[in-house]
Amino acid sequence: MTYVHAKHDAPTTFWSKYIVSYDHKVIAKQFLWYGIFFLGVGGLMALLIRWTLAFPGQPFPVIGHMLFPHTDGVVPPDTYAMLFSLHGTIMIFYAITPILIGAFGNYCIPLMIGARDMAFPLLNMLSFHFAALSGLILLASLFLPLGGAAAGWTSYPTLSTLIGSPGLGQTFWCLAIFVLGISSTMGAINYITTIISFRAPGMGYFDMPLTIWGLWLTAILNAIFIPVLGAGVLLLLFDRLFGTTFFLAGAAATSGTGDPILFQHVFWIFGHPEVYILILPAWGIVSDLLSFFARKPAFGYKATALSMTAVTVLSTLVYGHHMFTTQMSPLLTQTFMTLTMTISIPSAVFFANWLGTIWRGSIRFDSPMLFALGVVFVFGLGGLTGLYLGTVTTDLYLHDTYFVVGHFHYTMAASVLLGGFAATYFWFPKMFGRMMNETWAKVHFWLTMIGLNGVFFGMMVVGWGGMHRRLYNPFVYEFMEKLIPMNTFITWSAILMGIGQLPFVYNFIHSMFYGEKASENPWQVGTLEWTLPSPPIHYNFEEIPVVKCGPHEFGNPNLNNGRDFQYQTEELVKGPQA
Amino acid sequence: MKAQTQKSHQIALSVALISWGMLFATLFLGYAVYRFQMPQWPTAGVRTAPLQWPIISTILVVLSSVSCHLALVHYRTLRSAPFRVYTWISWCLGLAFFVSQFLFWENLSQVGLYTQSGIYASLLHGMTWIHAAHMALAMIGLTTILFLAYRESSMGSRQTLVSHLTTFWHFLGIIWILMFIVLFIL
Ligand SMILES: [Cu+2]
Repeated sequence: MTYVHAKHDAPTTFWSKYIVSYDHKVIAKQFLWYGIFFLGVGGLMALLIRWTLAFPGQPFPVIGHMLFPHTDGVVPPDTYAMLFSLHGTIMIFYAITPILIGAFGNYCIPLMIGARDMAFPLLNMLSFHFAALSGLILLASLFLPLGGAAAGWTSYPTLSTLIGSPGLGQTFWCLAIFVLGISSTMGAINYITTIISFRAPGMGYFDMPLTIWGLWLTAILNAIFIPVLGAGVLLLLFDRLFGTTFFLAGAAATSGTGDPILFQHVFWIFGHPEVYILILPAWGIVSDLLSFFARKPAFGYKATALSMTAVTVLSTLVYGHHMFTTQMSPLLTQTFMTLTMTISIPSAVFFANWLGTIWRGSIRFDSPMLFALGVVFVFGLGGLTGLYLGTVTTDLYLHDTYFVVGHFHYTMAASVLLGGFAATYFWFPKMFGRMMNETWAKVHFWLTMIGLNGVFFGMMVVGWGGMHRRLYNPFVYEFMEKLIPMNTFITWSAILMGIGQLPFVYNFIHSMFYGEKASENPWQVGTLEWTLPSPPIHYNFEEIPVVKCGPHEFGNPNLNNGRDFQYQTEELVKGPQA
Repeated sequence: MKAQTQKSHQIALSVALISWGMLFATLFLGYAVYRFQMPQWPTAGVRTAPLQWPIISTILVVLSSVSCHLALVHYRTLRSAPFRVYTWISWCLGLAFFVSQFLFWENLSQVGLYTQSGIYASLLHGMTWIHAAHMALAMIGLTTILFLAYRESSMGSRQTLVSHLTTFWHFLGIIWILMFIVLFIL
């Protein structure tokens, strides 16, 4: 029961080809450019934050005077609050989400399941246009008289109400997030439907590449939990615009108080699944890449897919671990702690499967593999440090310190960023028909890897030392002064990481035009997109392929055609005795 | 092939309704949290919302769902005259629902339940606003169908659109009835 799109001609004008395209491959690239742009914006904000923490009171080099003329180039305190708020918002919602879900979700789903496009191409296009509108609203908020939102990426009331955040910045933020939520929900509806009903004939759920599993589970979480955040920001918006008192408390509300903590509940009912919304596509991609580049079938494919599903289900039940310090009843905190700990079990299963996949493989250390291995390393670290925060006793001490910041950057930033780079290096040849330069890719990998670990491990160290997040100048406290050298180290690591992205930008743009022409299947991988020319034709598949084996058929000893892999369109080669 | 298109539309609609369901579920969750925290409800010194307009809204919602359903039945059996009549009736009932909502909001202000009058009034306003915004969306859909109803050629060819819009209409009707029970009865 596979539904197939009819073939249709490619659009010819610039407008119809690149702006209002219905083609999932073009929409994927739109999301990729969008994400990379915001990655740059969010990255610059990170550097401004780090500069302030390492060199308080000193002007930011080169562009400082242009950005902050009134303070001689020094980041002012209120701007600092805006920077860390929008750094988080931008990186999560406008960089990582569009790159992994928007770009690679759009690109990979139809190609890897053998479809000609998404189920609903118009909805797909609208999804990008809503995202673009949301991005514009957020960028516009930077130029408001009182600046953009400054209540943290979590926007807790009462800080985010009119009392804590006067002006329009926070209002724009709510609006932007709501519009982006519409965009994500549209995308999720499309992804779920496409994966359920457009798989090529012969492709069962357990014949799908794990990338598709990850994207599918992410889409399901998105469809369920984005509306929860939507409801939260709508009510916050009402509070700000119409004077309702949903999240005001005490004297702030005239009669009958609201409840600021309720926003935290709503935020984290969405927010914890959001962590998995971001990481699941990366897990899927890494699970595939490890097999592809170790030239071995994915170890425990079904167990990996099912444990990813188990994590998805569990992720909906643990959000309370973000709120241990909100006077939650001990009965609840312990329940949430226990549920949180159970997530380690399925996580450990697929983590062990990853190791099983590369164990004694004939590993090819091409750039996608390097980044995939990077994910394994940083995700392991991020996951383990999460245990300290999921445990009530240690969390009470570590809550709101830089240990939290380090931890979630390892899981949400480092893992997902490296996963995004792995995907970019891996599918670039298919997307643009040219190879990226391997040497620059490796330079990029090592600079990123060293910089990133310096930053995020350093953060955990200063956090353990007691440094709180979101302080403009923590060193006004005497006991913090000893942490200045460590903070300087973190900042230099961040600068290194920032510089490390230049080879990527150069490589990406240069290779698009001058890179070596890519063959149909440069990585020698058997999934469906590699049966197509690079780049694929407008409607992908001339004939809809028939799938006959799984996505990871490597190193079959019975193969005798000179290849060590099989395409998914080929019958599994059996030995003579079979 | 047509059955398969319908199947994928069916999946999409189900997912969309789950998403919308979660949006409203969050609002109900919020309501429950506020309500159970308060020693008395509505909060001290605040009067209860007047019931007459919500009751009328509820009647209109039920009637409009019935007429939407009848319109769909006639659309499926390709009877264009009764389809037009029932679509018109649904449309008018939808409009009447909006009138009853505006009068309800008006009425709230008259009895001193302004948007700024504390959490009870916030919930009355906020939840009905969000529901009404979705009703407005559904009205746009209904207007589209009304246009379709006068294009003889399209009779029966937009089954998916008509039946999904009807489902959405019923969905919003159910949400309204839940809201009516939760906000005004319990
Ligand atoms: Cu969490």
